[in-house]
Amino acid sequence: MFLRDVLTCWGKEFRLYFQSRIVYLLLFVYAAMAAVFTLYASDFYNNTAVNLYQFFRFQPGIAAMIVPALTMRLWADEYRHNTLEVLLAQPISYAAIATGKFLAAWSIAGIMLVSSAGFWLIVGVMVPLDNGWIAANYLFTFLMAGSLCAVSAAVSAFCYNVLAAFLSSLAVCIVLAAARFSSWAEKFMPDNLLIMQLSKAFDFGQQYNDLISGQARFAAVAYFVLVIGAALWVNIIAVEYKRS
Amino acid sequence: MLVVKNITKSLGGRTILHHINFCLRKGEVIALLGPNGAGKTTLMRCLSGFYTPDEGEVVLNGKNLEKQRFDVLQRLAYVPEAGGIYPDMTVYEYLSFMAELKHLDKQQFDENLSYLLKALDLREVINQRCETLSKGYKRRTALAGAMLSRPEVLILDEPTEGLDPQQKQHLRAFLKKYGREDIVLISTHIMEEVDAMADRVLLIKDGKLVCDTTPEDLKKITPDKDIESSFCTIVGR
Repeated sequence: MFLRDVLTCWGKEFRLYFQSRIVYLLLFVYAAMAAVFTLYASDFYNNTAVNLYQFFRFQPGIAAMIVPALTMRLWADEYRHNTLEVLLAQPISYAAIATGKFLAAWSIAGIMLVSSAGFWLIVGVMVPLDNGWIAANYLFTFLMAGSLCAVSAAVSAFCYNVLAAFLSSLAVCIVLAAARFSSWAEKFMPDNLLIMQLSKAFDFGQQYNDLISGQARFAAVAYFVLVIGAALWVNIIAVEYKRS
Repeated sequence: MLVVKNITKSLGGRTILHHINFCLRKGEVIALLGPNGAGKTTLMRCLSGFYTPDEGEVVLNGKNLEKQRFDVLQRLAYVPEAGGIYPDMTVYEYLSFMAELKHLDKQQFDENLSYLLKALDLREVINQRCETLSKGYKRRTALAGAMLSRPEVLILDEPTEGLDPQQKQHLRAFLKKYGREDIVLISTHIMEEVDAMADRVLLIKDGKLVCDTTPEDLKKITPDKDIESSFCTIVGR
């Protein structure tokens, strides 16, 4: 029953993305940002990596800017249209609602990522690439985007309007994706072993970088899965909080 | 039978409902009356499971709303004052989403849908986006969404608000008919609605249930034999 409810909520949110047409705009923005960062902000033309590292390294930053626009209306629109009262008075769990909404945003993020596969094909015609590695990097990037979707959805669940949801999610996602906690710890507290280890363990960018540069570790995958789980839990708490 | 036992609810440090007790039986249309801010919407939200009462319980056919939430909510439907429909969906999409939330199978959905589209006169707008509907159609779409599962308890916050006189009359007749077999609880400010529909009146003032009677007995409170005068007398206006 839980999975059926998740699917119901996912289907509704997924359809609404296309009905409100926001997804087409975001697809264009994502493609433009990915192209600009990959081709012009890195040394792509002179030194194309076999794993398309120049493309993947910018994905957390791009996702941090795109994902808040994907998740901003997930909860804010429910408050705006007074549909939350109806939704929460149905025989389904809050966990199913939160999971369905998160999966819808993650699916759109996946579609965006798939839309960039044309770039992989074009480069592959011109330069020899390690396709297995690139496919794995796509999966890791999808996982990373999922964790940002979950965090952003959780933040937006605390907000009543779309703009507040977007801005607060944007701030949290940028801090999470761009802040290099391990570098700061190395700089300011190099002697504190615990802080050093914790900062490395919680460094979003470092974990992602480890994955896409071929140091795929179970801990890094577990990190993103745990972020998704924790953010979904916060999301449910936020709905409970709003309800009361 | 829906039993409300000793419900108390506070919001923002203020007690909105004080130890409310009543019992609703099948075959009754109950009007919930009260001045603005009396706690009608809060009470309806407690009954619909949206709010959890601080004290007390809501029991439907022996099942506790908190402990057997899904079982109770399967048999209960609530339409808030603002309607609560998704503007980007078509009427059909909205109704099929509501049916999925209530776990209706395809056959139940098709049967109930065709009945409700006819009864609530929604056939011509079935493929129209909800945001383009008039207020009357929006209210009826929200009502159809709530009634798809043929709930035993139907809770409606100001159901005829914004409807034209003809639509009001039609909806009142429809709800009155529905209330012959099930429980219909409506909150309203319109006294003629109470007269036209209600078998029983619950009157709330400052979060307390001050009157639980029939419309006929309510009228007898004042010499005018008029519900509005009686209402004003009880709420002290």
